[in-house]
Amino acid sequence: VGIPTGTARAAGHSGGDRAGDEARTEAARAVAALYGAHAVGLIRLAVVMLGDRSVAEDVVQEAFCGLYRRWGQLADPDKALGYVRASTLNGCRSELRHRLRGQRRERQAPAEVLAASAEQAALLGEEHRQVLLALRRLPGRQREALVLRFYLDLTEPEIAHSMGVSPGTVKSTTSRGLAALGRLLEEADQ
Amino acid sequence: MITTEERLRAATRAAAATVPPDSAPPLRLPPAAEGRLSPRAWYLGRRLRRRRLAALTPLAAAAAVIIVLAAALVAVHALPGHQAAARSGHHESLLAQLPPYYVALNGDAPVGSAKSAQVRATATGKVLATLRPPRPDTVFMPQVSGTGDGQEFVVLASRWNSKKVKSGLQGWFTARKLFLLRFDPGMHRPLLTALPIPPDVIRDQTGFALSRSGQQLAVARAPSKGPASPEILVFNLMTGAVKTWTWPGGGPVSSRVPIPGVGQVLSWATDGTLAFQQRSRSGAQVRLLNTNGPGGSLQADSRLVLDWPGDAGANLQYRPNQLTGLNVLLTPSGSRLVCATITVTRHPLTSILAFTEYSARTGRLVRQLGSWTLHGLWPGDDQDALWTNTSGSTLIVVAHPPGLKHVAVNAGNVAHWSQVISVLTPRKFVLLPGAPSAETDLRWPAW
Repeated sequence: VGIPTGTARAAGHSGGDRAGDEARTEAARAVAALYGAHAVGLIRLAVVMLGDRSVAEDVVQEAFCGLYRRWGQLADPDKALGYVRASTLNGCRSELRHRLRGQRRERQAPAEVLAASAEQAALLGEEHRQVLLALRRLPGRQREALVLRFYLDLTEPEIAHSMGVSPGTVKSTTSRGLAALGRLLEEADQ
Repeated sequence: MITTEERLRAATRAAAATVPPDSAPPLRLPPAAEGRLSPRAWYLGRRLRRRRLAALTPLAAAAAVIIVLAAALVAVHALPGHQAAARSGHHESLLAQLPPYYVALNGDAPVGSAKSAQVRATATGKVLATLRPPRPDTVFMPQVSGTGDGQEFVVLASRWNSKKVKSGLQGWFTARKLFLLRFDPGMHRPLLTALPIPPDVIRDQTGFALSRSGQQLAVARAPSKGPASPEILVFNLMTGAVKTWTWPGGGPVSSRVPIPGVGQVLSWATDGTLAFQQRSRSGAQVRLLNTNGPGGSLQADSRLVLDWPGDAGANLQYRPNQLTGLNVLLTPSGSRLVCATITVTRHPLTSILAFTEYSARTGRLVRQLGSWTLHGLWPGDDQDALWTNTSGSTLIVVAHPPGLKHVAVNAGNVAHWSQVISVLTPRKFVLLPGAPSAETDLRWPAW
């Protein structure tokens, strides 16, 4: 973990600077500890959402950098995991929007997305691949709700917090998403 | 009957299982964000923001319009001919993901050698330390290798000798030595340690690479005496043990770009796999060697992954409509090979430069990060990949700035053909702040 080394500066510092250094060191340690404990889980979440390991790693890295920058503004450090999970989902959303724009501009699927899917296809069975392809055809919010519910097994309030919506919206979005997924899978099975 | 929920659960878990435990890349935090973390500054800032918020709303709306227009203009100018968008701002976290330091050679000395080596901060380009070769050596040769995390490097020192002869001055290098360079960021002081590599190995070496752990040094060698038998030696820097792989009659293990200091001949993955480039009768090959074995046959212990066209032993060549690559980096995870590639098509004559990634397992093209379509024939300037992150999604490259469309091969257009050291991702092309000029200095830095 690359913790900034600015804390090594000692001589000539005012008390405020020293306090700032201590706050930074504390933030770096806390974020690093959180990263050690949850990075793989969040990368997995992003992989499920995006289907591309390298982009998933970037999204998670950005989310933790954001957490580090805003550590001083975090009212409750116990909620850091929720914050970084929401940031990861935001990053996935941005990436998917970016892909969609690219696809529209080029009127085709970008080669990198196809290639990543092809590589993953070798590791996943045909059945799983079909389900994941159907999942990625759902609207973003429905996909998120389903992944949080059925992959992470989060409760409705937890999903609501991660997605920034009300628990009622989570319920209806999950239900609609599941129905749409079922329809897509039926079509694929036929 | 299996329900949709069960199918979804199984599929998402199978997708997640493709990410092994403990496989997260190292976290790199942005040092530039320091100021925002002072609670007092944040509090004062928030109070001011609240007080001025109402008055600033119309101004903010106007500013937003200006920003949108400016962004559109930037995009229009940056995007043509390049898939990676140059985005202003938000580069802080991208730069924070790079290794913190790199080594660049500095000061002109004979035959492309350098008077000193500089340790620089990646995010700013600031020179943190400068060191000269230990006596009696006088220059650094233009070959540097790093562990990829910006902490340890290997540099090659030498002594330049000269004497007057009838026709002028005659010069030659002697007593080459390899040094391990460790940078201590606390003291801002680099430490040089001589490596116990035999002089004849250093004399005949065609490239070297420090392993990701910094514990092993791979040296490619083409013995100057006897029949062609390229060798790769792996020195354990902790124990002094050495393992040797030889290929009697094989082509030389060497760079495709015949300029000293340009390009990596060897590249390590963390698991001990070593990628090497070898010239062959049909062009050049990229092979992967498992260095965990005891040594032996370079041919038998390595696996062919990429085969590029070219001539029998000289420089890079290309064939129409066929992708051909320059120097290759192996990602630390060992899953991908990354390199700059060229494709030339005819009618009309077009050159496509790109940074291309191949699966190390199958040799198949996985993706391209950025491509430049140029009207006319590629004039031979080399793009190159200098560093890659674990997955190959972020590269440090020597590349042409985005927007370059046309190349006319004559001296008058040199100004339009300048290369820059940059960070490249599938979505961004960011100039590395304060980096040495890649246009005038071919001794490219190492991470």
